[in-house]
Amino acid sequence: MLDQSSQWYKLQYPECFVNEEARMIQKTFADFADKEIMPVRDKIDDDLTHEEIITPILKKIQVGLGGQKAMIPEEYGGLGAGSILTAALKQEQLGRADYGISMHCACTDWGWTPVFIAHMAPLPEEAKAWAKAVFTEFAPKFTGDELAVGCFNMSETESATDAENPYNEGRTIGVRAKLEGSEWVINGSKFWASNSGIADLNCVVCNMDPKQGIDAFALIYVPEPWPGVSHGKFEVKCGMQGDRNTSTYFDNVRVPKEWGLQGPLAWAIYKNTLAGPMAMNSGHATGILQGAFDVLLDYTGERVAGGKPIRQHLHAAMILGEMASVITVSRSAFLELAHQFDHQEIYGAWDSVSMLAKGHAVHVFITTKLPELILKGIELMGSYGYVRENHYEKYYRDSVEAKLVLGGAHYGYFLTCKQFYDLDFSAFGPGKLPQPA
Amino acid sequence: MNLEHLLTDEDRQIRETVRDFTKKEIIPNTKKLEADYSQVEKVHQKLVDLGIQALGYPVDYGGGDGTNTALGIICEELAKGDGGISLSAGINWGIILKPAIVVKNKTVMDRFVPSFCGGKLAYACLSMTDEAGGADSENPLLAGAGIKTTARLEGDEYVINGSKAWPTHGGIAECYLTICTTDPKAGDEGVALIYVPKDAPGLSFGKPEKKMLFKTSINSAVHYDNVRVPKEFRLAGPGMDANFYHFLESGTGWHSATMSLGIAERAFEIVLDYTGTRQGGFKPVRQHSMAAGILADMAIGLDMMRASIYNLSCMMDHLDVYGPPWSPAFISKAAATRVFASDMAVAIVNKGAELLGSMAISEDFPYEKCLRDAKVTQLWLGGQQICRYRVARGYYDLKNWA
Repeated sequence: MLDQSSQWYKLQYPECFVNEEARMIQKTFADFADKEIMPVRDKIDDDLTHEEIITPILKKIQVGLGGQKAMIPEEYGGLGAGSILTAALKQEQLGRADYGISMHCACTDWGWTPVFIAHMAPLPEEAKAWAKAVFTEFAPKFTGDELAVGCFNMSETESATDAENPYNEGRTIGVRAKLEGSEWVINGSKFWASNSGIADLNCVVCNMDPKQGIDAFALIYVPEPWPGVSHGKFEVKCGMQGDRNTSTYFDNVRVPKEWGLQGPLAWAIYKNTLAGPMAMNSGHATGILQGAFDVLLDYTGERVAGGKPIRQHLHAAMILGEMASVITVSRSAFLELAHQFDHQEIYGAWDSVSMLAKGHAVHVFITTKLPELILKGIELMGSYGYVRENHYEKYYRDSVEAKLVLGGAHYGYFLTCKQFYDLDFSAFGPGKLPQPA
Repeated sequence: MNLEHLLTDEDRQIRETVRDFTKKEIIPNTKKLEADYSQVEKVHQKLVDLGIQALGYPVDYGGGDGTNTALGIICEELAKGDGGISLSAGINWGIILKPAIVVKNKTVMDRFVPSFCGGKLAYACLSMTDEAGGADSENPLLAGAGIKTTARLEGDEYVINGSKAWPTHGGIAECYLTICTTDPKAGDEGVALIYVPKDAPGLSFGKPEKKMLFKTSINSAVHYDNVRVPKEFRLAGPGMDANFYHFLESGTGWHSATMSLGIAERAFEIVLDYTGTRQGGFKPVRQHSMAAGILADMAIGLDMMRASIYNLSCMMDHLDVYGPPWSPAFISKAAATRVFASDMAVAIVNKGAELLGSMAISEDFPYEKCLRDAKVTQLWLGGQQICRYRVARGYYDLKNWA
């Protein structure tokens, strides 16, 4: 249990970052994770239908604790989002118990992020009107008593991380939108989005005309079920069952014009929407590492070898010390990052070159170290480490997946470099893709 | 861009001043400085003239009551030019006398602090590692039993005997904070921290060590042969002395991390510049994605080091909230920062070398100094493995590593 009165806690979660409100929310989710998820964490990834374990847990988090209305403004019945820091702390605690469940919750928030930014940021009336239309139409479903799911539907089979590369200016995005009268008509397909196939509401990343780049870029909300929207089979993954992934097909999908936003304004919101998750997934990843460490600490305290508990052997202490060092440093870094996101007046806009670099730097480090250290730690458990009921192997599977999301480490490298020099990593240019004709 | 909001205007001004000083006075002269210690002393005197040395001491004595955050900035910036100069400046700034200042040992402060606030270069020394026993003297689980240098109370004086290996500023310091034991069987109660003046009879020194790195700082053995000092020169007394000894482990580890950071930042600057002008495959080296990956890894490591070090600096400045600093939890936190920063600095410097090819090891190019200097931060203060034990001890009762 998270003891917020301990010196360890104060040193890990310093008050220069974590205020009283954030502490309270963190404690709520920490206690929930310990009570509701930890006892069944070895069974979650086998709940293929989601009916037995996953959905009941999600309902308790998303409805009972109000998770699904976190990104909905108070005037629409939501909680009005606290801070990035609070959200990252929440994701850390959920990630400590199960990454798939944690990711599911974060991605509902992510689906709402574009309109939340449009609502909150000092942006033109066009953005405000879009946010108003979307919240008015869809917020009631998320503020009710039933589980509702959001999805930020971005990635495509063909364009990989090119879709999120800001230097491509949306030119590689294959899903086409066009305006016909008072409706958007959408065609194309998406792949991999978290919560796809189970979402009640998608924010779909589109382009009207790739050669126009940013001017033709569009973010359009599409509810489900909806005529013309269909899906493939759910991907079978090595874990992270709580997070569904599949293809989404758009076949002449028509939605009201008011649910979409087009042009540079939409592009600016999109870039900011891509930045925020760096703090969240860094929180997830730190939670995964903490969860694995806690299992290891318990096991090596009870398991006797060479006449004493394993952790009393110096070689084991060295490995545990190494893991604890990285957890400590990672936590410092993700809290600092989240704090900076919350203070754009000091550190710059989320989509500024320096904040993008910072976000990716922290994210790449934590998610890259994660599987490496968890794999190192399993050496202390021997074969017990890869047995499902001993809880450790799950963290390794989770860690591998945490490393690959949001464009992965190599995409992060390039954005990190952009802070220091003019690295060219656009998809277009000599020896690369021709500009769309 | 790390926690700018926690810095004061004074911190920022210090950063600009020391950064500028390092660029003008140290970086262009690193070869000369490594070859001639008299040149190093001139640099130190200039730092004294800038007010850096006195900054860490109480205002009542002519100092500036400087914060740990300010010291961290100073050491980081100086280490970009030369690790040894950064090390000495940090030690002379007040790390050694800070325990006496915190416990308000007026005898010690009156005797030694004025030397550091009078506008003249003065050295301090932490005389810790015993010649016999090595890192045992730094092992808190041995509760003082690993300390081989003894202090015996005779009337109003302590009589000190033993030998210390490796103290920085051995032979040139004004005062030696000497880690002793009054009784190896008494546990932490037997640990004694005693300030010894340079002119104490019976105090002698070995020859300066010849090193491949940190050539601009002097390490010499310190020998104590019935050295007598007034009993008031003992820091605080049984129990509290041990606490401060453990605190020093945290503080010196943090100081080490600031140097790791500065050295690695300098390495990054060099690699970034070189790969921007050096052509390979018909374009600047850094335009190749492989090179970008390495540069990014270096930048990422630096950012993580900064986050962790600045975070710890802030905590050390607010011990009323985050202390006590001698608890296993605090020592674990500080040790985590040190062990991470040391390993990361070495990894950064080694990885960056791959983009420089043989230029990395050329003595006509500044990089080889980074390769040399980074390594020491993994080796001193008991080394990385003992440091990891300190981290682990914050989480469970690691019983003994003797």
